[in-house]
Amino acid sequence: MRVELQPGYILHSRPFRDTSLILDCLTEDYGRLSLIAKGARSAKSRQRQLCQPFTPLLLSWQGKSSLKTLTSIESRQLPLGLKGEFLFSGLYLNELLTRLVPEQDSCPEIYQSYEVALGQLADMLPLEPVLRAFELRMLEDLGYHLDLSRDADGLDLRAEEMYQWWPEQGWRLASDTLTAQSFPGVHLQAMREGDFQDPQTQRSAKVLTRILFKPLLGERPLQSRKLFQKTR
Amino acid sequence: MFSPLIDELMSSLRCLPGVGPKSAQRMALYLLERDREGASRLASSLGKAVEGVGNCSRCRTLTEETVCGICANSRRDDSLLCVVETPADVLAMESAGIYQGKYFILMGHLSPIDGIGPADIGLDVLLTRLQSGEIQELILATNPTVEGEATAHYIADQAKAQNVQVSRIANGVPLGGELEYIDGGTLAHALSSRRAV
Ligand SMILES: [Zn+2]
Repeated sequence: MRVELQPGYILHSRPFRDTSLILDCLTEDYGRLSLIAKGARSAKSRQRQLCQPFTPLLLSWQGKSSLKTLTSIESRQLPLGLKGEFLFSGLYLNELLTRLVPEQDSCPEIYQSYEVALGQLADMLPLEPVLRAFELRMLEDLGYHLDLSRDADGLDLRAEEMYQWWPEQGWRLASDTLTAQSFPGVHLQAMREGDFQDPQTQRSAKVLTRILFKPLLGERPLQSRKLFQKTR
Repeated sequence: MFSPLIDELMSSLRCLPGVGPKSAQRMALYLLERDREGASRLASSLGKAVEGVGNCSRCRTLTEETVCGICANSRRDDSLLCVVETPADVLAMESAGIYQGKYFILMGHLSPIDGIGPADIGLDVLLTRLQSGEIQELILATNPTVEGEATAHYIADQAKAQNVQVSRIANGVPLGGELEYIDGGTLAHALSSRRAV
């Protein structure tokens, strides 16, 4: 199979043999896939500088196996030049994608939301809303059904109530003992509307996405979270 | 086809970068047929190096001493510390011949997806040195890659918190490079870090 000039991004690259790289890519129509860039690490390679995350690329490849061969790489735009904690956040998105998006499965929605999120990080928009909106869209696109309008019995969520999330059931009214995992209905409504302006909503969304990602991520914690721990 | 000892030698040689089955076979046969003396020397120096070489307690570079030659050199400026990714980067800096401070070698860079976090590249050791107050300026010479930039930013935050002055080496148009042939990313970087003339 040959694919020409497919829009995509490199999520991660690792050395392969003496002078090559294995690129973990996210593409618009072909989802996540591994490409081998032959000779990309040799001193005179022009590809080397392009084989970096956060550069909008056009990728061409061929091959049938799970490891295809990169035949050309071009940039669509300049590298996004993420800086500081926006760069850390980009690395966090890349780690989430490499951990949770299966290879060779088309996922145009995830690609779109990734591209939107990277643009927002490059524009240095407030981090928390960008990350939470991406996480919630990603969960949805991975097929994780999170209904932010109705409770487990099909009743509308009410702004003034407190809710708890029950895996595989949905929202239930929080019992009298409020735990850290209780969420005000008003925050859930804001999340549904993609409105993360309010810091309280941001905090609820962060707790909620961590609860939801936990079973998907398993025992191994996300490493990129460590980048934020000392800087904040 | 070969006896077990020769087979074992060939497969051991393949741990070297760029050595496949063919070259491993060539090397093994060469050593056994033509240069037994060289082979013994190689075996013994490999053994000694693996046994004896560790990391410098101050800069983390490879050395059999507790403190390496550069760190121990009292004529070099102790208040200036240059952070690089690998011992090869130290060689490159030294061959430029203008740097008179000391080094800190990360032996890698931050790479969350590979599971490499701050402690894995010695940043706890670096932080202790920054806290000691001996260092006045930190020069970040990690590679101009995404991971190199992330590493530089992380260290810069740590250093600023200790009131240490921090600078990042400039990356831009190489000497003798023609603009036409320089990729967009390098050019953008060069433009954003331009200075007045
Ligand atoms: Zn040293």
